[in-house]
Amino acid sequence: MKALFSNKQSIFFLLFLALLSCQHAEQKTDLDYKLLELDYAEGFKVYQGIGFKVLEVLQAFPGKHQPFRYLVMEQQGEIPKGKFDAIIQLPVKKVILTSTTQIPHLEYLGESSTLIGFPNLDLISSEKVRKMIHLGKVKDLGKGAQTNVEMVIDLAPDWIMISTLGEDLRNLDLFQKSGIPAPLNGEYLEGHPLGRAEWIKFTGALLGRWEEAHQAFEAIKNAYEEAEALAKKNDQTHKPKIMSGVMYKDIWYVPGADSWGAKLIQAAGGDYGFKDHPGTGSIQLSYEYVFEKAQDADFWIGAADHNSLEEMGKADPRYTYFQAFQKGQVYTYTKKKGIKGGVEYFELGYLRPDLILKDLIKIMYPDILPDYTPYFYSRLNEK
Amino acid sequence: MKNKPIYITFLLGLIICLLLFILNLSIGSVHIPFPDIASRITGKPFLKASWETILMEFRLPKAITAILAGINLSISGLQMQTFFRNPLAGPYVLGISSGAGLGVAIMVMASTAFGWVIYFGQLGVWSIIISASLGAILVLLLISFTAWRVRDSMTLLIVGLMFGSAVSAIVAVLSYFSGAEQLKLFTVWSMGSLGISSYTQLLGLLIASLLGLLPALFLLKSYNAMLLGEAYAESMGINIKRLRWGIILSTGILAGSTTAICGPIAFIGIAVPHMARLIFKSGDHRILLPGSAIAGAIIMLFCDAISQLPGSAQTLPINAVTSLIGAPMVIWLILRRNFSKEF
Repeated sequence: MKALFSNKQSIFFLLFLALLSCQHAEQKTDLDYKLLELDYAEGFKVYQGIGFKVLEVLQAFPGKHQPFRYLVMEQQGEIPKGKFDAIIQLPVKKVILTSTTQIPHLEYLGESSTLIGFPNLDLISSEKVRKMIHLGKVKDLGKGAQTNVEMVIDLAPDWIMISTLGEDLRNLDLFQKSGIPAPLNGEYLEGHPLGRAEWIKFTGALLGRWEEAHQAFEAIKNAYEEAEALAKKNDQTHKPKIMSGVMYKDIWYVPGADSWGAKLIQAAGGDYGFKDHPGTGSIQLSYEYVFEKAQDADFWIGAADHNSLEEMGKADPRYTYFQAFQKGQVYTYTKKKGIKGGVEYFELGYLRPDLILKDLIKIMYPDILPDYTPYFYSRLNEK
Repeated sequence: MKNKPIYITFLLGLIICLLLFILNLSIGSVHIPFPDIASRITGKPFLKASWETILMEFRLPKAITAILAGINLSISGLQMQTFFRNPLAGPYVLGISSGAGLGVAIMVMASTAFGWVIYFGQLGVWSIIISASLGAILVLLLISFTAWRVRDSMTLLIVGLMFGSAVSAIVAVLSYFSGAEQLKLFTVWSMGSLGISSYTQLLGLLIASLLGLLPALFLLKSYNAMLLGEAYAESMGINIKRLRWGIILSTGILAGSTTAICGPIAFIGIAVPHMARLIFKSGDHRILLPGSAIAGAIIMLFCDAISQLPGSAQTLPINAVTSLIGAPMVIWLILRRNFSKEF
């Protein structure tokens, strides 16, 4: 084997390589971090450094944007170089949340007592947090559609977690100027139900509860995958036909085929009546079309917050022409409410897709889970 | 002799209206072949049971609603143009629809604040019609007081716009603080829709329309005199006070109830009376009133047919269609001739 290069050449070559790698390292800010693998979530990444974590939020709101990077210092020490949107020093004692879906994270991580503010407290159903509200430990940030920035600054939390559609980003500058870290939570953009649940690790990292978050998610993931396997094993030659949504005037709003809700229906072994309509959010269809497509559906799952078939028929007589309605197979997830009327599904649903999946399996194939009682869903007019 | 063409025009209008009505029954997201519709009208049942429901419970009430909405908005527009002696008056332009919207917004969204339970159901129909009519009449009264103080059509329009803006601002504040569900309900309502959920609602709209039309029919003769000014009308022995109140009530109920059920629908009220003037070449309200009614029904049926986007699963909000058709029409009318000739 003849050497390709002379010694001299190879030394140059190695030098050149070394230079290249130096440059590369400089670009990566001389940080030495390793990526911590996530199972389902695609909207954020977690890197572990020595004594710190870096959270990268790739998808915080719809549309294209630069990733947001947050540094969580797990020990006192030198701040690593690099550009960060916020730097959080553990331990964290006081936090503000802005979406009910983030409330269960605190509970599962044993950190409920850190919550000091939330907009529109009535929406919260978690009993632990309700107790704290009762004791006056959580401040109501108002019911308005926008975050009350002044109150947040006044409360001076260690961080405020924000869910946004991208409309109030200028608040981020205000929080940054006042030194309040404002990590963006983009869980609602995750395609897979378990992807949304995995965002508990995001909250976990921000609270210094990474291990607990990991364990909590493992349990949820295993329960979900188990249930899904059960549904798959089942004879699915005749899948029940599922319809969903309600009408506002004469426009029918149904979850798109790629939405979280539709995915759960399909995972449970249901034949979603509107599977030809892609979309991750809700889609609008005309009454006629829905009627033609779903008149003979076996189950109507997710019918807003009607309390009874009678009330539904009163609200719009055109509901009564559906077979699922006539057979009393209409299910809603709004029955379980907190003391102040907050719907628990909107709070715990993102974190516990396993429960929703089991609920749906129980509705469609009652024999698979004989001893299971649905957690969120209830049948209208169930005696 | 001279009246003959007018009868022919009316007859033609009725025939077009009927044809459009049948067309409306036969188009939509779901394709029902025209021959099937025709044989259904003669009493033969459909091949598919779902068609029966779609036709009888959805398309038929919708088409009738379109006709009623077209008649009501056009006649309230005609009355306002006569009343204010202003060619650009109309329920949408002068903020009457916003007033009705405010009434509905208070009903729907303040229910969050006060904990009322209101839904667009069987019983909800009257509460919503009455609240919208009250809102419409309130704005009308305010505008009328302005109109009687300031006898200048430009000022009146500006004041109308201001009222509209002020009312929208109140609605915006209500929206800001209301729950997601109420907000959605109200937003969808504000896009306009002819889809009516039940015959009960339709009956409500029909009764309100008749109530609103009564004063207009009684005052028909006085309207012609009004065009020449209130002083002239008074010299003809017309009770101006009664006339004013009659017009306010009629317009308020017509525009209010229609807005309540269908949401704010733009441009029909302002454009159709002008079309009627063009078609019938007359300023006589005994001709213009039925003329506007037929023209309004035709235009609404036509707009509804477009909004159905035949064959697709989606529909367009009716308000978008009326604006797209109505706005150019008004601009064309303004450019076409000396607009203020009859006023």
